[in-house]
Amino acid sequence: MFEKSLTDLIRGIRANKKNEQKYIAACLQEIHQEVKSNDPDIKAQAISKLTYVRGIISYDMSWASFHVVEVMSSAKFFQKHSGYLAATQSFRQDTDVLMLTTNLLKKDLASGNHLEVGIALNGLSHIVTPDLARDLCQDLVSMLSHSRPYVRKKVVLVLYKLFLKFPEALRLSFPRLKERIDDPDSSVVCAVVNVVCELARKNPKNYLSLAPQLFKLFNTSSNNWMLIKIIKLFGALTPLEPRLAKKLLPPITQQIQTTAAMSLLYECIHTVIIGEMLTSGGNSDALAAMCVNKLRIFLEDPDQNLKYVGLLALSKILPTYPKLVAENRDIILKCIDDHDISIRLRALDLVVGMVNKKNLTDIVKRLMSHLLPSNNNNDSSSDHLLPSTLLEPAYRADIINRIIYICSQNSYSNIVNFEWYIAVLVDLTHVAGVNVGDLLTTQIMDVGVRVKSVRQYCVKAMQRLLSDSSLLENSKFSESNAEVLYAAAWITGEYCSYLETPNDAIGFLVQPGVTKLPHNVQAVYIQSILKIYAQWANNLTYNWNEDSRQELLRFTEMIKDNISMFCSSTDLEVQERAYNAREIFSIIHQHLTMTPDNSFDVKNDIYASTNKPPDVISELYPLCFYYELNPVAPKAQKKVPVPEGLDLDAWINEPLPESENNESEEEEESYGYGYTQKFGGSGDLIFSSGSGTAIGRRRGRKSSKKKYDSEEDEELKEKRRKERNERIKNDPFYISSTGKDLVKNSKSDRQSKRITEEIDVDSIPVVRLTMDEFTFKTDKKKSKKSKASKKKEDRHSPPPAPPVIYTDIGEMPENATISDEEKDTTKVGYNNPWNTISNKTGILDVDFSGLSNIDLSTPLGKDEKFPQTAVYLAPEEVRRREEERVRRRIEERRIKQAQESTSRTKKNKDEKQKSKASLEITPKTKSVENNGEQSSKSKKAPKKKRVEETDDRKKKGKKDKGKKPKKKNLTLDVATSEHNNVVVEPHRISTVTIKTLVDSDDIQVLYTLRLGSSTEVKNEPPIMIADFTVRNNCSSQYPLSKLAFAFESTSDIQFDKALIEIGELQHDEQKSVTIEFKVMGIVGAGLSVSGNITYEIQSDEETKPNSDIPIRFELPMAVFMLNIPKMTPEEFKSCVSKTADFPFTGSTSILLNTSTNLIEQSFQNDVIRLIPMAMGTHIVEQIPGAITVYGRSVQGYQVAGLAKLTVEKNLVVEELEIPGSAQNTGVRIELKCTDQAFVDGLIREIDYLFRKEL
Amino acid sequence: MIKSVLIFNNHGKPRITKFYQQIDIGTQQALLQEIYSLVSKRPDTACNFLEGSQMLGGKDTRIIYRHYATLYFVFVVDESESELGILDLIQVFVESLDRCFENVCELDLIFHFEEVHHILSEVVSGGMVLETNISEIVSAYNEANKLKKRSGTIATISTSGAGAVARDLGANFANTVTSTLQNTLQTTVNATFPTFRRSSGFNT
Repeated sequence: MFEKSLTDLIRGIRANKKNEQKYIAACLQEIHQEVKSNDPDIKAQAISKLTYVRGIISYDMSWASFHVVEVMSSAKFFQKHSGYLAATQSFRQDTDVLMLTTNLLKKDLASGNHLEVGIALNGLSHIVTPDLARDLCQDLVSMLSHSRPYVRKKVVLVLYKLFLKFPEALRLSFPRLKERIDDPDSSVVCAVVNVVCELARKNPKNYLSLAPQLFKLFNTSSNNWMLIKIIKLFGALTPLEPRLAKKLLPPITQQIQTTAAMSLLYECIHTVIIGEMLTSGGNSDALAAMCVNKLRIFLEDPDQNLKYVGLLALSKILPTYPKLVAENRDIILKCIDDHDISIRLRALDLVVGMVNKKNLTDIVKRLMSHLLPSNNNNDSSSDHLLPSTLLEPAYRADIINRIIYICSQNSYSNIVNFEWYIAVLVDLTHVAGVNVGDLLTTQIMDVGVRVKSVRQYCVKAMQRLLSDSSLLENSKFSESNAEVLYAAAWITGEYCSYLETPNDAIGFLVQPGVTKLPHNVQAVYIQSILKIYAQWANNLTYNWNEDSRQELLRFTEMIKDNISMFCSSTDLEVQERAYNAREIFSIIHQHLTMTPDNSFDVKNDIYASTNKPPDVISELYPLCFYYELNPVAPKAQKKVPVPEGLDLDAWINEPLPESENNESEEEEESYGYGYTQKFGGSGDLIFSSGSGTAIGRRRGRKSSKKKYDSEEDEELKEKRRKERNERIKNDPFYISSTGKDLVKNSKSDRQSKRITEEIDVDSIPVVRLTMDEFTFKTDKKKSKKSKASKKKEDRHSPPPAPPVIYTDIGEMPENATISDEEKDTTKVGYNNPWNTISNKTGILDVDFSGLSNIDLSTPLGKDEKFPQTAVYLAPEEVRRREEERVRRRIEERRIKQAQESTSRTKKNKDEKQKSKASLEITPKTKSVENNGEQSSKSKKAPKKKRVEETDDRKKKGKKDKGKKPKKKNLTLDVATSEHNNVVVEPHRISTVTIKTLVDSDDIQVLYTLRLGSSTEVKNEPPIMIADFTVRNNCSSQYPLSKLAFAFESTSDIQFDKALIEIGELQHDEQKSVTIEFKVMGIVGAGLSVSGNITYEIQSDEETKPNSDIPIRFELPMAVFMLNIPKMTPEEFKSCVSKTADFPFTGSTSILLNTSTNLIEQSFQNDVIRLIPMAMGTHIVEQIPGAITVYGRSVQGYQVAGLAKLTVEKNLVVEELEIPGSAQNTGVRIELKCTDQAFVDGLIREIDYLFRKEL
Repeated sequence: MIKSVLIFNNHGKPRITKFYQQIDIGTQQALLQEIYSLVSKRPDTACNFLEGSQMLGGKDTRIIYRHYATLYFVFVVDESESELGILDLIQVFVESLDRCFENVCELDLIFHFEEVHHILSEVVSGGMVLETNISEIVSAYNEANKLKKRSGTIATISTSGAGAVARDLGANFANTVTSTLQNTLQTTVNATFPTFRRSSGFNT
């Protein structure tokens, strides 16, 4: 076969430029075949090609994921590399084959070749999933102390990715990660700083404890990369710790003054700014001035990059030191016209913050010029790229947003001349070129309504807009901003009194093109036609004559005809309004034509009748203009004062019992109906938002409407309401709601009655829902605009336009006090409100949510451990662990019980000693160790001897407390000697331990295990002897009878005599029995013996039924070890050096959780004690921090081991005296053995024992 | 954190695309095209910070790029990276490429895309800066390359073959690239970096 190599493929693609797609398709076909090949080389090559194709044509290669994993597992380095590359490029979180990679990654991470480890780490950093993170975190953490810095630095960075997916790992591994800050390799340190910097962005307070180390690094390191990162990290930390800011100031100031690296200088300044160091007192002003001066160097530099970052930093300083920024106004303004759009945008950010009354017009002019390319060419330096960026819609929209933002910020406080602003807005409409219609509309409406002085100009400008036919023609393009006509029509309509030529205005409103406009605009058009007409016709009535009648008639006819074009609109709102208006016009028309008809009959009355305009005209005017529309202050609702004597926290009504609740809920529903109604129409959009009154009234109207719709219910409800009113009338806790209810209920036939009942409401100075107002205006469109809180006088005469230039407060309720706090407290936040892009979440953003909740300040809890790969445990292993757990719990309970019952146990001498032995020792060490000779003694372990041992034990326990032991037993003394230097321990600690088998209310059984022979027994299953001590524990002091042990023979364990009968046992009596069995199974696989104990309790009255307790005990490895004479170190060496004798090895590491000064002691005490105990070996040689052990089992297996203390001293930590800085201390145990299962079993037991003990 | 590393040529053809977040390939492509359309309009005198990406979004996400002869090197980073630092990092990356390939040209990137990925992985790992010392980067690459060659004959043949082709096909090309690369080194680098260099912290 001649498969294309990757090079062939690339060459082929380049040769087939014309039909590249076709060629690639053909190649993909081949790759599909090749990938399935059995030849790993072809497969790897195919994956490699696939990765390439993916890169150039965005080809989805997820189908090949499995093959990628195959290639990843290749033994050849270059193939492995291709595989991992393919995985990093194509795998996603949900790629299913990722679960297959766990073991592969484990293997590669443990590889002896650091380059392989490197690519595995790099691969992991891309493909890590929560599952992978959980399964691999322990491996990675242990790799932090890898011998090669190349691996260490990669591990550090990968750990961050791991934390993102598996946040729990952060707490578990942070102490280890922290140690790496003192790594001898600078790249590793840099990587740690990098990771901490990323972590600190999410939750800086966790990392404050690192500050001393970082501070030291900052002062000593000369690596600019790292300095930059440290500086950035400090920027995140200092806001939390002002003292740190103070401490940092001198070195940072020095860096700023001395460093030649611009990037470092910049980051220093940046940190000073964002780290809030400028506000932390001291000579911060001087520092700020220095920063700004340095930044000026950036701005004046010819290098555009420096200019850019300079502006960036200035924008950060702007909120706190606007004055300092303003000093650089000249440069910043120059930057607005820079040919580089990036710089321009940054300069714009600054300009927005620099605007004031004086420079507003100038700045806006500059910004506007960016929208007008023709002017701009003259202004800025010649630049061929300018037009293209100027035509960028996003840029134009941004500019317009900024213009409007800077003009409107702080309630237009920077604008002096509002006519100018209206002109700007109108200009923007024409030149925008992007869709900003909505924004402009709101602005024009807002200014037009709020600023009375500008209305005349505004109306004129709006009329011009209406007459602009180009707007109409292009209305279908969104860039035309035809929406502005909404504002134009509305303002001309509302303030038509300023119109010079109303007829023309109406003409524009009914010109043929308007039906192409958006529907909401058309709706406003119809309304405006009505308004203008009403105003104009009303004016005509002042000097009414035939001419005016004729004119009116002609005009009405024209409108009536033209308005029909709206009637066929597809939009219901437009249609409804159009029909409404047409009806009104036809009524007027009718009236106008009727009048002359009548006058023909009575000739003399011609003048009389024509002199009188039709009533309908004079009624139309107040319909539209009765109340002036005023803006409502945003806080008006809040400002309604609480009337005296009203306690808002008191219950108005006791919480009602269940049955009554139903009723009130029902009423609530009708409220809800009113609330949820969307504000209909488009006439009332902006000003109702702040006013509770509008909502309130609407609620009333809506609910009344609903009632009207359901006449039948009305009766019922009315009846119920009356009942309720009756019920609560005399309730002192209930303010009668009659008035309100009635308002809601307003039906025309009841109204008069209601008004009289409404006295109470008047006295409450809440915005009033007065009935007179209501009756007057029901169903009149105009009513929406009137404010209920207006004074009565205002209501009846059109208010004289007050000489206000600018109403910045808006309407307030009566009695509302304007306090200081009322002043605009909403400071403009500096989060670019005009910039819509920057607030969006980015497509490349990472989800940090898990990490930000992790708290590193609390120490690790006991249950916090690296997750074990439990999924991969063999069933027997799972069972074994479960048993261990249960046994531990029983043990604990027993200890507790034993302590409680100490007094009880002193009766029988024998027993007393016995129990003492078990009781006194167990609380401390949990298991009793016997002196060496013990196990070699005959089957009947004499109790006397045991007592002696326990005495020794006790002394050892005392020694731990610091007392000197009596020199009674030489061997023990040496072992427990306080001299921690070279000690050759001549004794051997054997492994016979007394354990508890059963400890119930009735019976307590202890047992020990020992070997049946003291010499090697090859080719024969070893014999094991178990000694049981049974004691009647029965609380009611009854004897036990028919006591018997029954054991089960299995394939592993065989009993010659499986049943032992003890018979009767008096209260507190104790008996010993022994049983022998053969161990047939493989030692090391976790053998156990099981059986049961049966007995009866004989009480006086009756014999309780048989009790049957299942028993089960394990055979620990140590039991199988022979007691052999001690080996000399020389013998040991020669023995171990023959590696062929020990073909099997095993090793484990144990982390010691002790602080530095105790670590050696801990090693002396615990490790030396526990290792021989777990293994049944004896110590050959002991030097500080290491021991060698040797042992031989009854089957003839030999075990040689080395345990050494691994401590990495952390000098810096000690110097800085950071409390709780954990040390990387542990014990490494390596074993050599002549049997694989045996050594595996040993390792497992050592692990278990240490976990339990430490 | 570095979010993405993109290398494309003057015509917008992707040479290396690396995303440190997993996003679907369509979005990757679209983003690359958008960045290309923005960046290709900019003259070499403009600053190296690109604004105006509509797609990217994200608070404080920055696009930092450098233009070398026929190639654009684009890094998308967030606020925890230093803007000027990233510019230097691009320089480090390109110089490493130049050392590894001996006068790097666009063809090298085409024919040795796996190697380029490898070099990149020695500079940036999982979106964070791993190594900034060029000699470290180059030696790690060379060591791995040796191992690769030892591990498989196919690789040796194909790479040496590709190398030959690249030289044959793109002799002038390579020259132009290196010459302009040198130029940019002198011009742009002079503007910002000698200071950085002199301060001795950069590559120690």
